[in-house]
Amino acid sequence: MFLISGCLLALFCLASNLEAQTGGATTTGVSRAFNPAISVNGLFLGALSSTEEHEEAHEEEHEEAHEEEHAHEHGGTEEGMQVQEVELQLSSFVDPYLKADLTLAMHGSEGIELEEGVVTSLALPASLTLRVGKFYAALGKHNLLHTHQFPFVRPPLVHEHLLGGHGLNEVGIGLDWLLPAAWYAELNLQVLNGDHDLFAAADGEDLAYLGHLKNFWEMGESATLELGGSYAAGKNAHDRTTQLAGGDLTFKWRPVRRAIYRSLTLQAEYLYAAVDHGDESETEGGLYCTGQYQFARRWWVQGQYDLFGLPKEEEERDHRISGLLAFVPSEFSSLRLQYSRNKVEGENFGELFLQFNFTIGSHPAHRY
Amino acid sequence: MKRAFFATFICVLAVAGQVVGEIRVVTTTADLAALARAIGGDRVEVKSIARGYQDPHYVQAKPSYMRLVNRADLLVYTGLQLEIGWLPLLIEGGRNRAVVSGGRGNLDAAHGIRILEIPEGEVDRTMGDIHPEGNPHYMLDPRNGLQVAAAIAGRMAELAPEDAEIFAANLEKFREDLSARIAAWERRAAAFDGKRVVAYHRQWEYLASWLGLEIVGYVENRPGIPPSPRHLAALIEQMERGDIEVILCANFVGSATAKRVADKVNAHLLALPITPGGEEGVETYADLFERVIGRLEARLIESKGTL
Repeated sequence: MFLISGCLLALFCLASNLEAQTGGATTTGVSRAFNPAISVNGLFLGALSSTEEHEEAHEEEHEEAHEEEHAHEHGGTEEGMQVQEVELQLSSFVDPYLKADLTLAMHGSEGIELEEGVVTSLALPASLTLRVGKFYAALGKHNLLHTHQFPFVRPPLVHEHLLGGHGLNEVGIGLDWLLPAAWYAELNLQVLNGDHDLFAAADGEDLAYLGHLKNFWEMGESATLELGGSYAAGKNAHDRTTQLAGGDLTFKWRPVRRAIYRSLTLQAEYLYAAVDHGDESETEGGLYCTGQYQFARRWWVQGQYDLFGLPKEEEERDHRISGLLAFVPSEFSSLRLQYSRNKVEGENFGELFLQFNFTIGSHPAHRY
Repeated sequence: MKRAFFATFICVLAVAGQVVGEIRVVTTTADLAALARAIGGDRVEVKSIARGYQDPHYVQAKPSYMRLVNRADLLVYTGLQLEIGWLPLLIEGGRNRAVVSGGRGNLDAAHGIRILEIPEGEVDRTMGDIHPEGNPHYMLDPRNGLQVAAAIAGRMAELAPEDAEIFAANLEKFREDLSARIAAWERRAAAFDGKRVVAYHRQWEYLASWLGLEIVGYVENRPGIPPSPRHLAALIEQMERGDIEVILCANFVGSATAKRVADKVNAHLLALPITPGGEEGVETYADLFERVIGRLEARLIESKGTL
């Protein structure tokens, strides 16, 4: 009797302990044990645009509707305070072969959008990964970033102009291959549905194709260098070909003995689009150079130079210079103050941003 | 354009080269690498991702590490979410079926370890970057090292059955040597048994509970969050009242704050290596404890003598 009750007690302890660890498994099938990892990221933004010149010019020349469109084209940043974006991320293994990642984004209060929804293979041979779903295409470096990962409040001018505020985000299939090279070399081949304006074929049946090669070297234990090249092509609305090409170079330094106190990132990226309209062909390109320096455990200072309209004359080019100071109290929150000086479409204006970023939920892994 | 593109990556392919005959072991931290070397001997090739003098919480998920994981036969990691900020990305990017979770080449070294400081009740981030599965710094108790060495030997034998006897013999040698040393270290540590210290991070619980040190406070009271002035003031008062003379801290901690606290109460900031490779002359797992205990003796017993 004593033995039986002892066993029962032990079993009960074991069960309750198990329950505590797995999050309340019960015989009803209502268990939290296999819930996906959930995290939420919120971005709040306060924005001020400086000169009257900028606004007056618009009032005189354009209707109100056009101005809104203009604001949207340039990253959708309006003056005042706003909820820039709230992102909900869900991530889980589907089975021993697949992992699923979903990102739902709410821009302001405009409703919910599926920003990314990807199923990735876990167990393909030959160092291959297959991805299926909706994702940011592997076009260089900046296009892969979610809004809260942007090094500055707005995307670079060249990305805004060529790809729009939401980047090249497509439904498609991708194959990533880690090449058996003497250094890290990864080849991404993607077949995209071609929903983006650049690739919106008239009959809606043509696909777009993208290739990206990423090379990565360690320079000693504290520094690294990455060099990448991208090319994409697909039919456009004029039944001709749109081509995108890009190159990116990234240098990172972070002393391993003092990894949480100092670091430096230098990045440059070039992007170019050639859109064949049939009777005429439009070519446009631009670049950005970014420097990010962490001078204390919780403080970053950053600068960026932006240029769009490269094959054109100087008068037709757009420029932007930005400076940013970031206070990062922990891995889960940051406060950033940015000032940008713009020369866009011949107008000069300044912009001031104050952005607050937070993450709750499961611990994020930090992509390099 | 296309032709040039394909020519490039065909060249890349041609550079491929692989070593055969040895088990390629990748460990997240240098202590696990030291054990793998001791057990595997010349039958394995061992690489550690984190350097011995690096904070294992804050390793960067460099793509070059993905390449290491890609080529590994065996991946050994500390677990308990120590590597959560970077290891999942390396495994994902490594695309190596052998070492993904559930694979034969995936070894969670925390399995079977008696874990300290498993949080009771609800855990949230007001407590800082807390490890919900318990304190992951268990390798600072050499008795846990014995257990991990046995697990590594077992897994190596599974991966290369033809060398199983070699691994078993190496394990036996390692166990005898380390057990004898543990007994000697325990005798030496008796001289500072019950001594009260303050620590920087929750890094020293296993060492302290093994050696009989009592950790009465932390500079970094919430893991991963720099301490507030209010907490530091309270800590300084506590150290003065308790006559505490030593602050333990890992040698990669930028210890300006800890140094200030130590100076204020005339205590000594003892910056110690936490893994092999953490300091010059600390190569093996045994070297690590030799050094740490030597430094504790020099500080704790000497200061006792001056009283």
